[in-house]
Amino acid sequence: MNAQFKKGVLELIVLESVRQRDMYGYELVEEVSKVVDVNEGTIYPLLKRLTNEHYFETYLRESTEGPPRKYYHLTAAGILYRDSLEKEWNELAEKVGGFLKECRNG
Amino acid sequence: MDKKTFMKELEQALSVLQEEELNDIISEYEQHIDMKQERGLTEEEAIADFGSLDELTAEILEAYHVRADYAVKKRRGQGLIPGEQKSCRGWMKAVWIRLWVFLKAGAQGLGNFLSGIRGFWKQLGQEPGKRIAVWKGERPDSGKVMEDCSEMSGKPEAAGGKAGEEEQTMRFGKQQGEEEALGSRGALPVMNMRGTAAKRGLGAAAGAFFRSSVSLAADMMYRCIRIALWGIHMAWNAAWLGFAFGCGLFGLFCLYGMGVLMVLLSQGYPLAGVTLGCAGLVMCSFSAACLGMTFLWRERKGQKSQESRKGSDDEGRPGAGNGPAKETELPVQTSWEKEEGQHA
Repeated sequence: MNAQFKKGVLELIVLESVRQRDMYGYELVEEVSKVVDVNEGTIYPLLKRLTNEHYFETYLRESTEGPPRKYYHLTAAGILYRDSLEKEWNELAEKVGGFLKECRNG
Repeated sequence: MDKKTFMKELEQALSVLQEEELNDIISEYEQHIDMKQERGLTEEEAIADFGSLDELTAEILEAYHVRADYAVKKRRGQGLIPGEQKSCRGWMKAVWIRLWVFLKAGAQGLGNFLSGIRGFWKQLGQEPGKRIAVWKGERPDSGKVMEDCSEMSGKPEAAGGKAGEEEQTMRFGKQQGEEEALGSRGALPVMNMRGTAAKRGLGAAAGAFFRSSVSLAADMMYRCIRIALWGIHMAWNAAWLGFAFGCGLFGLFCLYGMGVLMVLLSQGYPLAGVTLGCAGLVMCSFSAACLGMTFLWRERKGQKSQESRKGSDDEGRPGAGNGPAKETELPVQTSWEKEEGQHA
């Protein structure tokens, strides 16, 4: 798939996934990979950036399978940001879809 | 590449970050690789999934707003990134940062508010300010500008350079307030001062500042005295009004008493003396009330006579004394009279 497309929607997918439930890094990569095939190298930096911008909060939770894991949690600002992203995505999809449809028909 | 090498290189590439952040990132990646290994991949495969190390580190650094080439230069340096947030404590720092920004904005707003009040104060004090200018022997228009010109020629670009200019811009703000206070300034002299203020040395600015602060102090003192006088005036009026009112009430009471006594007298009681005494009291209290009222009365009459004196071409109508025709001749006196008129 076009890399630019993927890059564009990655934030939205990540935010939405974490909104469903708090996740740690690996889990999140798995979830996102179900939607789009993504380079793991880009997920962690993205998570870092979103955390630095206070859309995510992180906390450590003990795990039975090894060292404590860092979980990501969506903040209120994150929820608002996610909503705006979804809205923009819908607008874009509508406009582009409509445009393509017109061109196809007309 | 094996895990250890990958981690080492990653750490080196990100060495510009704070130690906390760096450790956090390293541990996260390590965990990720471990988990992938549990899922069955080899180290090589797990690491290959990350893509190119350079791209990866560049993207990570972007999250901290660090330029990748800067990081390369600082590869072996200490962490220089100020105040990046870390998980649990991050939100506290964010809150603190927001609070600080809010406080700064609040302080700025307060500063604006105070300067606005100062402007208002200056406007109120414009009349006394004019008077102060007259007392000081300065003519409101050209005198001050001439003084400043001589100052400027004396110390063109003396010591202070940049620091001087900064101070000037600070003090200039205060000066501007002063200039407005010292009233009746044409636009041109003000612009002259603005244009050349930047060229003045430190000494000139200090001198101007001192002068303007002295005039500000005098202006404020005068204003306070005026307010005090007005207060006393009001208190005096109020006192006499109260006295008159009290005496009037007492007089009415005595009148009533006298009436009762007269009735009793007509019925044969030996109360002639008391009745006469009561009548006397009535007359005394009523006259005291009139005395009190005349104290008030006299002020208005005095002011009215002054106005009629001033507005001689008004055909002696006492009330219409504020003729604007006379104002330009004696600006100081007019404002004085006008204020008296307002207060009384």
